[in-house]
Amino acid sequence: MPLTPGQRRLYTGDYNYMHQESQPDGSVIVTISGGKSGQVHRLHVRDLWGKDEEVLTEETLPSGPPPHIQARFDEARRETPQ
Amino acid sequence: MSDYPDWTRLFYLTGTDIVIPISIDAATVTLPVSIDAATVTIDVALVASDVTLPVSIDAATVTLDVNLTAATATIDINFSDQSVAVFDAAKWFAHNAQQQFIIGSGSVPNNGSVSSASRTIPAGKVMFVTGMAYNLECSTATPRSSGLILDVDGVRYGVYGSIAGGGLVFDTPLRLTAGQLARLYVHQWGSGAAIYCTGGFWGYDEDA
Repeated sequence: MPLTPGQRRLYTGDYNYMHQESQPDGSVIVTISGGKSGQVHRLHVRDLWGKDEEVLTEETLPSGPPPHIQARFDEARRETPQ
Repeated sequence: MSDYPDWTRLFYLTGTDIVIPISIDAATVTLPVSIDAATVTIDVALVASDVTLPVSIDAATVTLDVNLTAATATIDINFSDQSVAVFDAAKWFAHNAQQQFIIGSGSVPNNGSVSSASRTIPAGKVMFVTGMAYNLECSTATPRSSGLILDVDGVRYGVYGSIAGGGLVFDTPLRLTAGQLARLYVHQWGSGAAIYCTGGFWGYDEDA
C-alpha cells in the first residue's frame, strides 16, 4: 500500500513537531507540523511504526494564524502609526 | 629595476619604532594580490605581549568566499582560552530548522504504563535527543511513584522518576540513527486508578 502524504513526512522527517494521542484501542492520532511543507497533517494510525501500520484517516489542517488574526496583521501593515 | 638594488628585500625594515600608515581615499579601491609560483608560503607570525587584529567589514553586501583546491587540505584551528565561543551559524540554523519535539498523551493504568510518545528516526537522518519530560494529570488519585523510560529498540536508554512528573535535560545528547524506534513510556504505581499523562522527548535531526 503506498504511503499517504502524512506517512511520507513521518519517514522523511519533514516536520518539527509531532503530537500523539494514544487511543483506548491502541491506535494513535498523530499530528505533525513544521518542516519544509509548512502543512499540518493529522493521521489516525493503527499499529504506528509497526509491521501492519495502517492509516485509518488522514486530514490536512489549516496552518498559519486564524483568519481574524491574519486580518489584523494585514490591517496593521496597511496603517502607519501617527 | 635600477631603483631597487635588491628586490628580495623590498620591505626589510629595522628600527625601534616603525609605523606604516596606509590611508587610501578613493571612490573605488582595488588591492589585487596575485601570486603565481610553484610554491607559495605566506607566513604571518606575530610575537608580542598583546596582539590585536581587528577585522571590520561594513558593507551592504559581504561575500567572503574561501575556496580550497588541493589534493590534501588541513585546516587546523586551535583555541586556548577559558571561554571561547565560535558560532557556526550555518550549523546552528540547520539545527534550528530540524528541531524535533515529540510529545504525546494517554491514559496510564494503575501499576502500569503507556507509550506516550514514539518516533522512528526518519531515513537519512540522525537524531540527537537532548531531553525528556512527563507529567500526570489527575485531581482524585495520587500515585505513590511514577516515572518515565526512554526505550530504543527494546533497550532502556534513559529513566527518570518522581511522584507526579518532571523533566531531564541530557548533558550529552543521545544519538539515534535512521530506523531506530524511540518510545517514551510513562509509568505510575499505587494510585488505584488510571491517570492521564503527557510525556515527550526533544532534540534535533542532522543529515546522516
